[in-house]
Amino acid sequence: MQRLRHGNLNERIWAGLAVLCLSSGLLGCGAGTAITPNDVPPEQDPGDPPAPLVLPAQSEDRMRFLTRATFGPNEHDFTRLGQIGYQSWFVEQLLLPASLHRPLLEAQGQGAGQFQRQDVWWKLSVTAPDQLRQRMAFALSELFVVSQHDKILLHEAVALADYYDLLVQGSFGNFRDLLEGVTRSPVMGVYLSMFKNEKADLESAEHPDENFAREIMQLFTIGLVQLTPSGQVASGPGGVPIATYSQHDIEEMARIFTGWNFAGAASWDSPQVSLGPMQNWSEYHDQAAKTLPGGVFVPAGQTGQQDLDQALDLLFLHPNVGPFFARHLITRLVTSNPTADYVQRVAAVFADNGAGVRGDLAAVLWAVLSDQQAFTGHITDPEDFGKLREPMLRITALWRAFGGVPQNGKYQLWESENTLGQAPLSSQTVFNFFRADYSHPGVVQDSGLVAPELEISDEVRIVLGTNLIRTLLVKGYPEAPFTSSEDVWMDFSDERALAAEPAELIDHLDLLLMGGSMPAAMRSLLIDHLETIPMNFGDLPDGTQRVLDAVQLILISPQGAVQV
Amino acid sequence: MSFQAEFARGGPHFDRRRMLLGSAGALLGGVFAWPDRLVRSVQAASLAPLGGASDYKALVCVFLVGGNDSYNMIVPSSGSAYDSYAAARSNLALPKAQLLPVGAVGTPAQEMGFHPALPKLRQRFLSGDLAVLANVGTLNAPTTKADVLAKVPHLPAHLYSHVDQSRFWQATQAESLEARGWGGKLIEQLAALNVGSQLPAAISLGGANIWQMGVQTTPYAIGPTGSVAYQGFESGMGLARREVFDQLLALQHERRLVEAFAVQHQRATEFGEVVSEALSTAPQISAAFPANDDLADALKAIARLAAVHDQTGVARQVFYVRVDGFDTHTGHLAAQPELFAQLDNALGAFQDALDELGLANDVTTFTASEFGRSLSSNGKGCDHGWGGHQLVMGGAVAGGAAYGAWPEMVLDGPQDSGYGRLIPTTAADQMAASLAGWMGVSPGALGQMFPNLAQFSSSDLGFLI
Repeated sequence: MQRLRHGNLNERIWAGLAVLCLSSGLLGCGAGTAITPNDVPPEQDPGDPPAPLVLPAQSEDRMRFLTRATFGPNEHDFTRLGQIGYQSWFVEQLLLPASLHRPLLEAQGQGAGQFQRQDVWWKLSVTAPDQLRQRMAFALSELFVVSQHDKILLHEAVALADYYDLLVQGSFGNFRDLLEGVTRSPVMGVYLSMFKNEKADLESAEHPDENFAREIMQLFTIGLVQLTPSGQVASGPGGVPIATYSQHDIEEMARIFTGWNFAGAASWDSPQVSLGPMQNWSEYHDQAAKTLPGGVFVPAGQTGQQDLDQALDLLFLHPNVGPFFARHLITRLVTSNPTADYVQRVAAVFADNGAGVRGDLAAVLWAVLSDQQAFTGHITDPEDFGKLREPMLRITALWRAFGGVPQNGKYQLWESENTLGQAPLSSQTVFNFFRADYSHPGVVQDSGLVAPELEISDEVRIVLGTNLIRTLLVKGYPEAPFTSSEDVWMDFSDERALAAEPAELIDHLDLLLMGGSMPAAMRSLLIDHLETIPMNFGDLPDGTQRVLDAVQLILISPQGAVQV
Repeated sequence: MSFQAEFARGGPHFDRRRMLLGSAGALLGGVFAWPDRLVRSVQAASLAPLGGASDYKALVCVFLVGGNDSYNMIVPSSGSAYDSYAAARSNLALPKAQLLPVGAVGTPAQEMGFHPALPKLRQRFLSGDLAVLANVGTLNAPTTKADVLAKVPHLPAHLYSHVDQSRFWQATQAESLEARGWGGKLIEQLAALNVGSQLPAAISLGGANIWQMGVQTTPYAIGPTGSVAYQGFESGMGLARREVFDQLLALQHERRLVEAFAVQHQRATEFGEVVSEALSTAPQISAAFPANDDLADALKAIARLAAVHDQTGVARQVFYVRVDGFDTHTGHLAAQPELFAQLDNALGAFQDALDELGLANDVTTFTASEFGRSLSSNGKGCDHGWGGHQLVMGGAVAGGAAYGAWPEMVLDGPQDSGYGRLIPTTAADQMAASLAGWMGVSPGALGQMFPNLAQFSSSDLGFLI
């Protein structure tokens, strides 16, 4: 029987570290790792020691790693990574304290609403030291989706920030714990209407709400059809996919999730709002026996928490979860069309982190980032490897690359939902900003590929996003003609110093903004263009216009929009 | 299952061919009380020459995202039908006195009323510009409760799931590898009529969608004010930058995702100017569209674009717009009146605008939604259903009538697949084929587009003239 419950976060991180030490020969783990007897298998036959993991570490490799592990590479992280290597950098990030969103929002006082919440997201995503954790939390927020587009949550910015912090704090924990945290979150309770869900009322023929019961299975854990260990659709008799659950299973699952209300509510109908995990009221919980997917029997008379534990355990142990979650994380961080082997390797780590623990998110994240396909896919699969950058991440990458600092402390990208099709916790539906299986007529569909981010790259958004990048650049430095105290200023001094030699400038930007993936023909075009721009242009500091043109063209180009 | 065009007042089957071949006037004196609008449409249809400058037709798909609770959109308003409805819907039932009556319509003829937040659409129904399609849903073949209980193979896959049922509604052959949007496919079928057009025929005000994706067709997205222009490419340095940008787009792209993104930019560039130029000549519209409403803004943009179809040279066009918020598991009683009022005001103004522009007969608007909702309540709202009613509006609509069979609104009744998720009695494919046929797709091509159509008794529900 696999362990489902774990000790505190530190214990799990140390367990993860132990695994990293074992699997990678990482230096510096040292004696501290011996403190987790519960999570490490007792005695193993050491056998042959695993070969030390050697990951390619050219400048391009490191930049590409940081593109996935952070909200965009910058010189600081690039240098640090070069000094200590991938594993140590990863461990260093694991151990950084979590930067939380809710306290920064609450510090802004009573009037703080959704704009201020989004502003906190931009601030922490661009500047927080715990980049790996913040990036993981963002990827989780695109799986366990809640949104301000809800009649109640629209007015609950602090609650949404608190929910995001649940993801931030759970980013390196265990999937099972996070799943329970999400399930009992009052924000999820409101968003998918599990909150105040009552057992059936036979007289009025009312039945429990099926919303959360359906989506926790379809979207958060197992999906609609049985998967192979590598995440492919498994074929049943006659080549037909096998459904993971039936409508009847949903109805039974809906009965499991009854009786939950705000923590400390004075009465069932009390309007009092509380941000703690929801609590169960036995008189509203359906205590009759139930049958879960796969025919698992839930005995009568269990408490709401016992029912919930049994259902979440069932989902957590379902063989689909590993490949399902692996694919989600790979497609959010690395590539839209991973090989089956890549998914399978990551799913295997989900099943067992090497120390007998299932659902260790830190280990799964490391498996995604350190996989051989992540390092070599651009060579072995040059046509299809990589992904479109998410629109918001194009902007965080810009600000991180050039140290963007808002003059008034606010990033104020409040229109990003219109201009980018994305804003933090602002999906239109629980299906995230884009569907995981979105394809697109033409070269993508013809090749059997998916390109989720293309769903929000229509002809309106693509132009608005292009214009936004331009606006942020032309006003985004101290000497800019039309800049004001509301703008985010970037530092282009390193780039100006290279501007007299356009080839050097372009190579520098290629590394910083494109991980060295710039095609030769693009490089030539940009160099030729820069040479037509005088170093001394207008009243700007020497080289500025060359830098601005180069950065803008790279960021708005289709080549720069794809991360490889 | 018989499905013939059933007209108002529960009259006998309406033979459309005989009607068109015979004299509309003579029939007028007969036993049927035809809605005025229908008479005018029929007269227009028999008088107007085919082709020529007036040969423009457009479909507008208003997709109600989340699953519209349409059993509260049009409701039995009297007798035992209302009593069944009220019993099944529990706390979600609308009080009888609040319904906006439209008389006895449909099959079986039944006194019906519109939701109180839909006065304008009810008026359009009464004046013959709007029809109701009863209990439409995703079907591969006629389906009974016994079929559902036996889990026969022709049941649609993943019933009650948002994504899958949306795809079914929007695509043809939804469950095969050939799945493509039927809006996109019909445009490809009619490509010969659009030769020389400067604009894509599929225009979306709701971003990407399956409905408008054909084999090669992709929706061209615009915003409420039309296309969006690139900034910073205008003059001096900007022009040079634009040139480099265009060259970057035009490079041979090894990476397919780069190619796809470049194509989006090229489309935005190419068509943006056409749209802006055409819209600059669009007539002013005086119809009163609600302010600060995304749906109204989108529909107004569609009206303006339809008005300049001559300039863009397009003869067959499909427009898509989405409205969010219909997934009312909770907060239903507060949300539904707002959602319906939004629909009523925006669609009402849109039809006013089409009247004003002289396009009423050329543009047909329809609602679609991934599913109806369960009749039964969960206390706060209702859950995912299956069949549901849809609206079709326009001068070409044989309105004032309901098509298809009203469902029995009885929990655990013969049409209940569980919790009041009613089994559809008309297929979404039949509705789609009727609309595509009106646009001009030939019966043979319809059969190819919708291979399941042969399973049903009719491929033209007769609601369009």
